[in-house]
Amino acid sequence: MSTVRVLARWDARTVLRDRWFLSAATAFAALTLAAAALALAGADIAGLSSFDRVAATLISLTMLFVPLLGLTVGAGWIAGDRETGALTMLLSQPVDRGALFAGKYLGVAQAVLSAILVGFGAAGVVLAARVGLDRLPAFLWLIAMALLLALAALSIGFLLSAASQNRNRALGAALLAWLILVIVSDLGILGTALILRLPAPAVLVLGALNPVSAFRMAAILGISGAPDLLGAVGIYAAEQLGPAGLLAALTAILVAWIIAAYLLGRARFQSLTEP
Amino acid sequence: MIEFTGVTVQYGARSVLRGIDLHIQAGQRVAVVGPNGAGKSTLIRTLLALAPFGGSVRINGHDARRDGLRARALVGYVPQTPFFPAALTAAEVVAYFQDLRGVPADPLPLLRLTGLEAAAGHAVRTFSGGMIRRLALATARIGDPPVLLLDEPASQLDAAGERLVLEWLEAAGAEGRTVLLATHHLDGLGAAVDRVVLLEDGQVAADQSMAQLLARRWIEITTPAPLPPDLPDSAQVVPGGNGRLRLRVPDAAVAEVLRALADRLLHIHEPSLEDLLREERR
Repeated sequence: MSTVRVLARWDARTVLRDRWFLSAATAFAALTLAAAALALAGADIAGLSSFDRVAATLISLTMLFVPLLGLTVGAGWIAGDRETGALTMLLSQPVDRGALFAGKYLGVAQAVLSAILVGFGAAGVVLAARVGLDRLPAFLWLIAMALLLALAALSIGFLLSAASQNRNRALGAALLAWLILVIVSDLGILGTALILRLPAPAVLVLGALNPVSAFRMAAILGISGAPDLLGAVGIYAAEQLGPAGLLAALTAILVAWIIAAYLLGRARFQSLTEP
Repeated sequence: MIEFTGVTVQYGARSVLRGIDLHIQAGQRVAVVGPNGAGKSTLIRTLLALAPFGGSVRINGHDARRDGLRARALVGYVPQTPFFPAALTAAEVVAYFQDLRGVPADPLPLLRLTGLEAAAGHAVRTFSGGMIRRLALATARIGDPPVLLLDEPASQLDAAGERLVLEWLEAAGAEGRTVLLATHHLDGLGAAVDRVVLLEDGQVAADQSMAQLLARRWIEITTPAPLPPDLPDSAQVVPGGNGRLRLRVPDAAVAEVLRALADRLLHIHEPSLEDLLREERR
């Protein structure tokens, strides 16, 4: 078995026993289930279908919860090992640092993605029972985008972890990153656009560069197929790129975040002189 | 087998190691002693490229930095403060490290060897410091490495654990393993190590075979004047008796000297092996 696979297997097992992770995963499953049930309780109000109401609720929930889960679990992982000395034990083995980073990432990714699949699975069961399977492709698209967002958050978390001396600093940086990505970024862009009278393309680019915004736009567009739901900027983007092109661009942004943050984190980890 | 050539370690303005040249032959068991902060742990960590260093460090010809994978494959390591994933059981930890070394096997024999068999199914988070150290000793033996790097392996261990470490060191000699051991407790080791290196202020201050060191052991006896006429010549008067006579007596002559001083009030001081090594440096 390769080193990466060994590490991934054992780290997945370890993170699945982590109390914080288990609490967060359980909370996410409970929230998705509750959100789906509540959204369906008020079905067909205000012209929205049952599925659209559930999807809108799940998108909001995912935007808040999934980055928080990915960032905090990722940030705590390597920095925590570094603080306790567990990393020293691993680095004293005949293990390549790049493989160690990859194995740890894949192990935690398995656990995080499993937690998200369980959460969406719970909502999906409720949805299938009440609404049927007509919108299954749209629901699967939403799950796929949520998984990409989770991986992007995890990569950023691992980057912060590799750059931090201890778990507390890494977690602090992760919470700051979460605030910026989820709350501050959109407000900042809106304010900047108003003050500087930015043109639509600039606002689009600035907004889409945030992985959370890219997820929201990709999810809404993929489910509804209606760029007007994204506002003036979305309409402009769809006109320029076409709906399929815009979806591809947003997906590419999420993938780029995953790869870029991962590579930066790995480079930082490999350059640690005093692990 | 292990070669340190001109090894330096610098943390900011502080020099932790200052030009260490040390060659350890295959099968040799070397204890490194010295005060806190002398650089003992750092010296061991350079072999695993866990500390930034200048100079050259090699294990069996493999450069610790450029050829680290091959170098580390030869090594079993017990750090000063070992730590394992708290959620895993002892058996899982051993299995994890066996997998990492590519030698999957039943973890129980190694746990039995370190007295942890009964705790094999218990999570590491429930372990005492001594049990974690025993677990580290178990993982250090995975793959039967020819080199053992032991950083204070007996600290936090109970008497049985200390005996276990001693037996391992003795066995390592018989098995031809190379051992580098950082310790503060040289006296308990006796002939379980072959050579002793004193590190002071990041430098090798003394380097001697254990046999030579043991042969030079002496005790110091302080007694009122005058000396009895039948006192053996091997007892030498040294300065500093503070109004009384201070005698330095080689180990071999202690019984004879004590017989000669039979009726006197004595104060006896036995220096540690580390003290002897320090004296050698001067």
